[in-house]
Amino acid sequence: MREHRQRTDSEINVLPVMNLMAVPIPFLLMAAQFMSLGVIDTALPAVQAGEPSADAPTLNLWIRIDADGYRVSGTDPMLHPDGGADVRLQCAVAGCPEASDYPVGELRRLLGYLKDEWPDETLVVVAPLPSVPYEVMVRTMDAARADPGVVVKGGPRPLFPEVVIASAPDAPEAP
Amino acid sequence: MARRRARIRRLPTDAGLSITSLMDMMTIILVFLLTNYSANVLPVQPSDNFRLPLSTAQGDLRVTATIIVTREAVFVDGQRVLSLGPGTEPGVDLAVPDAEKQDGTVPAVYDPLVAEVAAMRQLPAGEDGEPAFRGEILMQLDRRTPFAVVRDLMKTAGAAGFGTFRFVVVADPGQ
Repeated sequence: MREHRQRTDSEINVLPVMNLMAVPIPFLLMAAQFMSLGVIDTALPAVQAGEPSADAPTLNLWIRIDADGYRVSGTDPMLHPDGGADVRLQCAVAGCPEASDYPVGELRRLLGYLKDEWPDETLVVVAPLPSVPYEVMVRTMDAARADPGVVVKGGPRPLFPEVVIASAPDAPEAP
Repeated sequence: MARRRARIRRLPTDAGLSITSLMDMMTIILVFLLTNYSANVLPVQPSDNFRLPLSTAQGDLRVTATIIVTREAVFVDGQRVLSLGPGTEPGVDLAVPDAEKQDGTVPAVYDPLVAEVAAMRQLPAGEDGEPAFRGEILMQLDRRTPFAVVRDLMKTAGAAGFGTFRFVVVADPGQ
């Protein structure tokens, strides 16, 4: 007779567990970051560049950013076409009204050629004019650090990953 | 009539809601949110006044001193220390007011950074033996910030003892 009274339906009551789970979900949704952040490490010229070595020739690569585009200078003869002081890369639209108007692709291609000639060089100095927006600076640093169009060892080809920021007026005149 | 009564009798009387599938769904959401949860290193949420630039850069965000620049003001470790104004240099729409500058640095930013450096130097070294103060500073800048502002803040942070500038960007590998 006693066996008859035992309950056969012994399902666990999951409602309290569900309530417990429902509490952290709004909190986590509010705290969640749905954008992934990254960092670009740079240094001041005095910290990063150091003293130039007298033994090994250096590229001394400078990218000046102004309202018309880029001026790339250095010791490589490629950067002195027809005896000029530097290579000028013009914006797609005069005056570069948008950050996307800057010729980032051309710059990356030029730096790729330079990297072929100077495989051990890693340093580049980026020197924007005071009016250049930060976004342009970031796009330029991206172009200088690596070329995602060329894959090396499973990642984008490194170009000049050590970026130094300087003021454009501090940039030396190209030889 | 009798047949109809019999059909009604056969209908299930226990029509309790099955919440098992709902609980499965909530478990999946909870696990997803917990795995994506990270410490909030972006004290200023994106708005019209503050939008980070996109970049191909990845990298981890170690907690350290932070400078945030919006379209209105400069924040050091979350505290508003300086209001920005219109620029005087050609093409510069936003700048550190000249009255706030002294010998090329910005005292309103320099003083809290020096205090931060002193406080970090008092901290014990980490588990990896690295000192708490590594000369790194996180720079979170609105993408339209002119380089004139970046330059003044970098000079100031450099004078306060920071040598490595970690520019925070929104990681976009497809850039």
